[in-house]
Amino acid sequence: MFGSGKASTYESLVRAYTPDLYRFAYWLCRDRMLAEDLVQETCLRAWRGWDGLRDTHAAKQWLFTILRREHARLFEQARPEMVDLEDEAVERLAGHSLQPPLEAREAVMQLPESYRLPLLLQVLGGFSAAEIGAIMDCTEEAALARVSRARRMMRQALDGPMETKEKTR
Amino acid sequence: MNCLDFMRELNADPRRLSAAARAHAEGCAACARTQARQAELERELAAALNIHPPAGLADRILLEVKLQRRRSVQFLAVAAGVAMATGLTLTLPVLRQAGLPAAMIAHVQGEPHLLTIQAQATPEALARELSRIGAVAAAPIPVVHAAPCDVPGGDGGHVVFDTPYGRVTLLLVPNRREDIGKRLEKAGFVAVVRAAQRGCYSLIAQNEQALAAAEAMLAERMRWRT
Repeated sequence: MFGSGKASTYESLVRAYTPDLYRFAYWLCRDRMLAEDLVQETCLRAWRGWDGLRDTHAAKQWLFTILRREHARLFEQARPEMVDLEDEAVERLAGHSLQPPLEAREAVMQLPESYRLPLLLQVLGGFSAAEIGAIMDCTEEAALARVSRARRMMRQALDGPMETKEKTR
Repeated sequence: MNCLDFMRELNADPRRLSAAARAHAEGCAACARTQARQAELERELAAALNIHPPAGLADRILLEVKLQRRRSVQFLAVAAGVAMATGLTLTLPVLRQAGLPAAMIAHVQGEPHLLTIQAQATPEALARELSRIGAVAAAPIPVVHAAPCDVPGGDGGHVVFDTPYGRVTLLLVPNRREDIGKRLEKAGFVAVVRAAQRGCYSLIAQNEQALAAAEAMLAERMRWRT
């Protein structure tokens, strides 16, 4: 479909990463049509900014970063909210009667965005804490803390309050 | 490393445990159990997140990029040529024009496992979902799934039930009322949109008989709140 070296590399990357980008976009906005638009806009911006990509090995992280920013731009959220919602969110999540796997989906949907986003990047994108920090414009430590908190929320939502044991050890 | 350190690592990234963490789990039965359960949760999470992208998405994106590159005097000729050569149409605009029924079919395509799961939803779950559009079940409906979901306008519900001709999906769209009465056949599905007391709902089936049976079942067993 694309002829030149640059274009064929671009095409390979789009074909390789579109499924992951779509899943990430869907779980960000939870709307299929919007997710498709987000992925398309991401890829268009990637093409226009192609010359800014120094290393194609970093393309995946670059594409996820573009998508995250595009989503933030659409919803006028330059950064995810930083409010500590742990107790409230955990209480809300634990109040549901959840049975996996569909209930895991429901629990993800109810995670506050600032926790859902890094968890998605780790589970869907396979990114390290440092890469998640770069995509989210935060430190590696902050990314790690949010992923940990998201995972604790998920476990509590799916298994019930087993955190007491963890905290007392 | 103690148990607390191990839990910190496990919560941060269960797939990248350090050698020290792995050694700790080998010598600590409680942490080993927690690690095993976490591995199960990771599998559940990965399965839950694994939605299917729309068919042909990458092709449509590449086509759009190509069209933008060649937006010039030859734009229309090139666009038509590419579309004919690849068998593609400009799907996004078409999807927009197709409206709610297309979105409903895309929604069902995104969760194919619901068309085959062996399960039974509770009457309470069904009642909760039907209430979104101001409906109640006046008689039992053989529901296998009833849960909240994302639909255009938000606050949606996703119900799947069996008919003698196959499984049918009922998507509840409380905040939109558009394309009422519109039908669409696409990708092996047939969808229809009906007005509800609040918003609208859509039935999506894999054949006309199942759709007709579902419509008859709802006409007989579903009532609007007074």
